[in-house]
Amino acid sequence: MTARRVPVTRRRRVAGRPRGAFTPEGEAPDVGELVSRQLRQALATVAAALISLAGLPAVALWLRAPGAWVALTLAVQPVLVALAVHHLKRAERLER
Amino acid sequence: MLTAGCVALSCLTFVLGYTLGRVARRRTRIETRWNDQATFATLHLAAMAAPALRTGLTRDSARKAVRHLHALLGTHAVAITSTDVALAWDGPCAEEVLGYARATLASGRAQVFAGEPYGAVVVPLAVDGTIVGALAVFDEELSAGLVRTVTEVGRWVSGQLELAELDSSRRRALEAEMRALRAQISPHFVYNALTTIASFVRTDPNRARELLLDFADFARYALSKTHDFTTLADELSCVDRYLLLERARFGDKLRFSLQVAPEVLPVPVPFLCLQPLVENAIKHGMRDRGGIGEVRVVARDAGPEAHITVEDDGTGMDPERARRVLDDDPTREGSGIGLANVDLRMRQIYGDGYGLVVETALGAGTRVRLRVPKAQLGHM
Amino acid sequence: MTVAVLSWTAFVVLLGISVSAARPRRYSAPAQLQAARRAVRPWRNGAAISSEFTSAAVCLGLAGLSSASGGWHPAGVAGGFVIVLALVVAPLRRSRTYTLPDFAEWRLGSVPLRCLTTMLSLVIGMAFLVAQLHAAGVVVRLLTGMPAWAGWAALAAAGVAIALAGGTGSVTSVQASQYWLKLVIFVGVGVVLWAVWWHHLPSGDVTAFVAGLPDGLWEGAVGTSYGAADPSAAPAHAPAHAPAHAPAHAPAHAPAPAHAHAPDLAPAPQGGGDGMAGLLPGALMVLLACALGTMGLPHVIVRLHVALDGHEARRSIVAAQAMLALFCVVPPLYGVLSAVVARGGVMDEIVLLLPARMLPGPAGDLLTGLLAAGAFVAFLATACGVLSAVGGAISACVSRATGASVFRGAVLAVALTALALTMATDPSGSMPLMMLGFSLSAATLCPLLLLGIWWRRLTDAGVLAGAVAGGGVTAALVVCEQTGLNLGVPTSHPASVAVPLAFAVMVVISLVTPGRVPGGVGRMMARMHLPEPSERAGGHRSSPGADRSPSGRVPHTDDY
Repeated sequence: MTARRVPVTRRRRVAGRPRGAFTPEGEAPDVGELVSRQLRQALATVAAALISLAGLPAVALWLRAPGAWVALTLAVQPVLVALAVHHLKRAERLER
Repeated sequence: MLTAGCVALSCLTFVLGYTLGRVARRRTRIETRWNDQATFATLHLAAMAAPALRTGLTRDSARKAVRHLHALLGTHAVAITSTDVALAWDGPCAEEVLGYARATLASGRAQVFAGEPYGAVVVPLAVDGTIVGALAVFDEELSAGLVRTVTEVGRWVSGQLELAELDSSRRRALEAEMRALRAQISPHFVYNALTTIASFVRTDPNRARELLLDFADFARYALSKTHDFTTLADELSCVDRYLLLERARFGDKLRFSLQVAPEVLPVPVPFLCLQPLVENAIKHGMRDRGGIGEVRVVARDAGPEAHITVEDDGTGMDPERARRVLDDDPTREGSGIGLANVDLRMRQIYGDGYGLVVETALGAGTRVRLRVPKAQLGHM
Repeated sequence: MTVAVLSWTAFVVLLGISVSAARPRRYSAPAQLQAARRAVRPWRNGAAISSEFTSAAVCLGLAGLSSASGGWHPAGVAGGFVIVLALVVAPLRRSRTYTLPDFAEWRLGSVPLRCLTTMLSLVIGMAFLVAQLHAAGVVVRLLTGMPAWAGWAALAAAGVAIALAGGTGSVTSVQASQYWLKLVIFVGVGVVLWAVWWHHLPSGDVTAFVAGLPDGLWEGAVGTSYGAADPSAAPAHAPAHAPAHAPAHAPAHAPAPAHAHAPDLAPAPQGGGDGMAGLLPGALMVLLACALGTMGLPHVIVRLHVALDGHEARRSIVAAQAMLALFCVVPPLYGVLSAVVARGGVMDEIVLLLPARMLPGPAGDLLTGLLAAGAFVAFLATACGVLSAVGGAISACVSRATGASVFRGAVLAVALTALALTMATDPSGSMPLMMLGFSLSAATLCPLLLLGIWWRRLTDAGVLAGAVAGGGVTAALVVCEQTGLNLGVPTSHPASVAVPLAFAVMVVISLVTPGRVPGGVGRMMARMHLPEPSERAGGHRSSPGADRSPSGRVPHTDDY
């Protein structure tokens, strides 16, 4: 390297193009059907997750076995992971 | 804990205060700096209706505009129709609007209907001399003044719709320009690649076949018209194929290295923004030295942006010349078309701060820097 | 001091291993170019996500063990990952917006909203960051006797260094390899300690231990009840800890009783079975805040964009959840053991001192060193993730205004602010700070995300009002708690009021302002919910470089 490099940019300013200029004019494809199916599926999963979460303290209360909750928080993990895997499979099937 | 609470609270208070402050400022401006209330109110309502109308005449835009027009005219009811359907109305008047509008839509002239309990004034909305709809105003009393006002409002709305038409043709022109700027495979490259491949046909037919397939892959990518954006990963694989062809020509004299943070591979980038830079580096860096040299591509992860550099260790150039190349109008044929093209597209897409930076000096090689934001807002 | 040297050495070795896993690689041979373009796979990304989460999981888990409301946090976070997976991941990835402020601006077209979201991300990130710094300070003070600020400074410097130097290498690889290192260290040391305990225990005491175990855990006053329930363990190990570390943790133990109760997450009545019904709402609220708050954490969202597309992002989250579930074994592993062996003091402090108490001599020192290094790496992972996510959000905000890239400056500024806040706060507040982060995220960013992704009629005015309401109520309740004004469950768990309120306000205001629904909602919905064209399957290239046999090529038949 014999000389130091000099940074150079364009001198004239370029007018940015208007916001959203390249978005197509026409209506978007109707995704209502897909969205509602996705939403139904997702809500089922979320409901299952929330029920199992809310069930934890209730079960701990019902068991009355002191310390049971330590086991319960561990036991719910595989359940939730299984739920997640199940949802993943269903969601990918829906989009295929 | 207390501190966190304070931080959260102070942040929220700040936002609240800022919003309130802006609202308050707007209020005072309305009341103090303009004395002529009527003029102001008219202009304000017109300005409120304008943005919706500037998107063209649709059910949505009519619904937004008609409320302001109603407030502007202060009549019993106001409605906007297209040529075949009542788009929107404000005030008690329903689909029968179209019955009133038919004559106007057919003749293109304003019509006045006296009636009980409400009369109607219907004026046409025209773009470039074509009737696209009608504006209908209903009121108990139809004075000459009202008819004149409605006619003027109709003319103003037509003006806005004409501007909308202009906007969309400007958009189409820009889009066409963008597409033209996008894919410019250099004819020299096509010629060189095919000559190189031809030279292998007899000596090494398998190699020639491979190269031909590479050329087909490259052309398929570069000529595809489906998208304006692609991922950095795809763009890099295009560069890869391009290099296979160039290497077949230059042999081991051309060295190339690639260093990429895997995090930036999914980043969306403008179509063909990298290959022209590599082509340029080879052209200016290597060819002047008989095709000996190294080209280095580095893609870095920098938080919300990806930073890409293309560097060669060639002869470099006079910074003045580099500046001229960048200032070139890329739609004109000539040398350095790749750099100016990419520069212009980057600035058009992301803003003026995202142009290319060329670092160069005579005998010091050249490095081109490119910044791409990871978030793709608005533009598809 | 040996421990200090050992833990420092272990830390440096760990850091070296993980950084070398991610050193920038330069490819030049044609055959290697394919390798250079290999994107981050879901498993690795998932490991990185859970790596950035482990310190929260472990700290909250341990804190929960000693608190009356119980250690529900890990379960809540796991539920949060399921919700993120079901409702957020794929649409957010497909929206191609990098941070939450970007998402807010793109979806609702409002710049003030962008500023508000940036600020919320900053506050939430700051809560996490300050908690990490405090934790690092405690580790350094306990093990080396050095002042806590040494730990803060070390963590902040290392975090900034990795966040900035990671540019060319892969920060994802650093984080992912750290996950495995941490798992091996924490589980390994834990198993060794359990083995030692088992070895020393006369067989008859096991049943006594099991019988006596739960009561103590419910009561929260861990140390004292165990001392009574298991008299054999204490004398056996009491001499162990006295000579080796007396100078080091004498100062640490002095404020311990205060710590044990100050950060208590639930002021509900402590005690046996009778108190449990009273604990139920508290436990539910912790679960709710964790489950809904997870989606707003800035360092989780940024990671989604490392995945190639929506599918891969989904898989990353599932991988992260599975790995985090694996890590949830750690808090009970140590918590129960230290409840048996140690007495008094704060749970996370006891855990660090556990090896030295059980195994006096070099073996104990070595284990302590490993544990400390592992903990430090965990704090570092979280700190680094939060730093780059929050710094990125801020610099994106600046660049959209000025066009300049200020990422490095932003990261540095965030780190310095966090240091200043750490100095101004008390270490005992770090757990509630993290919970505050979760609550705030659940009350502001969660409704924005959920409604923004699934509801077409959301408006910017609605989001602004909802976020201000949710955040304001959270802040007000926190202030109430600090000033001692007790309003029952809402005071200790702001999420119980703030989350429903934020949702309600957002929906109502959006319905009231139908004129502000941004244009092009249909297009945004399509972009978020339609799967990406599976171009990669066919690809522009018919086969990778490896299989380029003459018959390996299938001609493209689609037109272009």
